[in-house]
Amino acid sequence: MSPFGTDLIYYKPWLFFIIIQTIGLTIFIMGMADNLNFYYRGKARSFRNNPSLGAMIKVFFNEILLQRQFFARGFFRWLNHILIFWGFLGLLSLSAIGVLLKIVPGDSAFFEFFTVGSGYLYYKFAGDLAGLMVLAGAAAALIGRFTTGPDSIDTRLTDTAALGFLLLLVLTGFLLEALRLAATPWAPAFEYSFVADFMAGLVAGRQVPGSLMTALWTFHATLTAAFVAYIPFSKMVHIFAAPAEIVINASEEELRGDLYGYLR
Amino acid sequence: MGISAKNKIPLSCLSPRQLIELDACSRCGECMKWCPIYAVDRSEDLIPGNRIAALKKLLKSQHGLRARLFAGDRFSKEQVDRLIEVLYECTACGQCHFVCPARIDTAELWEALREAVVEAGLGPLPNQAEYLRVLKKYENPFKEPQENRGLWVPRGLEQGTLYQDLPLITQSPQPVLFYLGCTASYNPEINLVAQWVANLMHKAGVKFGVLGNQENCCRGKLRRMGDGDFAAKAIENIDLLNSLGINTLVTNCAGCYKTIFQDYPRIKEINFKVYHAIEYIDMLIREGKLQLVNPVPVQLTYHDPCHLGRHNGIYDAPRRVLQAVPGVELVEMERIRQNSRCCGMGGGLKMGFPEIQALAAAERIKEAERTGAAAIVTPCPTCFLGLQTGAAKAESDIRVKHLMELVNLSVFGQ
Ligand code: SF4
Ligand code: SF4
Repeated sequence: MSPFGTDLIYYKPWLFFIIIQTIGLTIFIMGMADNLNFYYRGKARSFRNNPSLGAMIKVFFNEILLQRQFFARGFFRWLNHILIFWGFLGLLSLSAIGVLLKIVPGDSAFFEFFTVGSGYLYYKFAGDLAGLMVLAGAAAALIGRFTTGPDSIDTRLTDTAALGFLLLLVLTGFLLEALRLAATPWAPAFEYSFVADFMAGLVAGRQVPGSLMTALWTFHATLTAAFVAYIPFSKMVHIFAAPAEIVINASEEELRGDLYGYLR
Repeated sequence: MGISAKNKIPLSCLSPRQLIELDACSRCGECMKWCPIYAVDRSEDLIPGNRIAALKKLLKSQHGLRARLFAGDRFSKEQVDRLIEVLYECTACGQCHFVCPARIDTAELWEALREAVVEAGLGPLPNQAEYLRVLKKYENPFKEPQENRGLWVPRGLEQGTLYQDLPLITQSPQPVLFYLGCTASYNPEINLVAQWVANLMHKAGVKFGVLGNQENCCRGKLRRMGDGDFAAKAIENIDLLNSLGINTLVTNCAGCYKTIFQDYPRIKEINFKVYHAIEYIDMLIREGKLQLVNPVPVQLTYHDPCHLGRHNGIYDAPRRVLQAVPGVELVEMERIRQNSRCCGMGGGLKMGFPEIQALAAAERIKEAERTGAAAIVTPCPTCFLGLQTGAAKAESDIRVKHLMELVNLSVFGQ
């Protein structure tokens, strides 16, 4: 058993999980392939001059990893976005580790590190931290949409829906983990899952039927798949397109030299 | 009823980058706060991010998976017409690019989209189409005969405003060509600015000539409004200019400057350097070839033209020139340099929406008034005219000045 207790406190329909994730991923791949096909129908030149690799690398670091362009528009704007960006990236990386754990041999060091070793604790901590970052960023962005007035942010429904989607995804994830912890005898290692542990404290002592937890787990899995499928067809596609555009644009800015002081 | 298949907008006019840009917009709304046109016409569909979203929807309804899955057009003719109108109700000032977190190069994107809609037979707007027809027929937008283009030289000499005759570069080769553009050639008020530049270049000992009646329109307006003939027409000009044996071209017009400096080399290589007159004068002052000796005591504010500033990064040269004029006190407006508020003259907006241009320019004038300056000065003849319209619209007493007038006064004392 891992330091976090067992996962086997309620039934998880893994077959449904595999099917729904496969559908989500297939739609995602089809959508992205269609987007790529759309982009490559453009025949005009993308670069005015030869692309400058140096400028692209600098801009990637400053504008994508540090998101300085948001900072220039205000601290809270930056905080909002960087929380979602790094939080989302964190959750994505942790999901990738989760998938790997299903593939790698059970006796490998990687598997042992993340299941019974200290890796499990870091995994849980990172998961909660990343989730909290997305939660805070998405919540602040949603609040911003409705409080800063029509002059600053467009509050159209589809855009709000995308943020709501993200928020719901993380919230159900936390809730699931909290319910699982609440149903397991407390262990010091739970503190690594600091958000879920806190939430577990709130529901402690209440009996949650296994069927409800199964339903919640299924809902969360479906939501994840739906979110992945939704990306290529919604404004969430900017997750890929905006960094690409920022990097392509870097060469042009190096020529003009007035947008990024560090390229001069 | 939807638009017909022959009106399918070709993606080939855009680059892969520009098609990625349509997806890069997260509709964050930042551009909404800065767009000078949305500031004076609060139609939601004018917000750059909304415009991108709507155009993307239209293009995706015609191309790709969605077009195949949901065969048939989901856009009515009225919707498409409005979208085209929205695409042209924009000065392509590029302000949205500078504030956009995704760095979408909007000015380029709008121009490429305009080219695509023109190819599909959906643009430009009727007034703009007429403007372009006249431009192509007369080689200028004023319906003036080409043989009158060079008349300003003898006229200036006769009136005593032009101090020295100018050689025709085709007859007497010179290293520097002074390229006027249409407005400076035919509009007497702007022509005076050209004469000031010529006088200053003479004073500094620059060997230069003009093309006279052989000068063509730079044809930049064709590009701004998406006319597909631009490339072919530009090549005619490039070949002419390349054949002159010049090493430098100086132009007084910010629009011509952008076209020759930025658009021409993308079509065909040019074999000379291109300077806007203000950059060139700044260089001459710094080289000690021009002495600004006479004081011009005035408190003024400076308007960055989009084609010089945002589009080409020329912010400092004009300010250096201003500060070299003794007596001038420069007070800056709230929105300057990259964030300079457009006067509404670019991108063919004036031809399609003259009232919106006047309103946009009036906003800029109000900003200038808030500095307390007595005058607003600019080195672009088009902005100069646009700001005059704005001053009239805002019923403002602020004086609108061309920067060359100050330099001329300081160098020649008259
Ligand atoms: S600033 Fe850029 S990303 Fe934001 S809405 Fe405008 S165009 Fe889209
Ligand atoms: S280019 Fe200028 S006028 Fe056009 S949408 Fe952008 S900010 Fe507005």
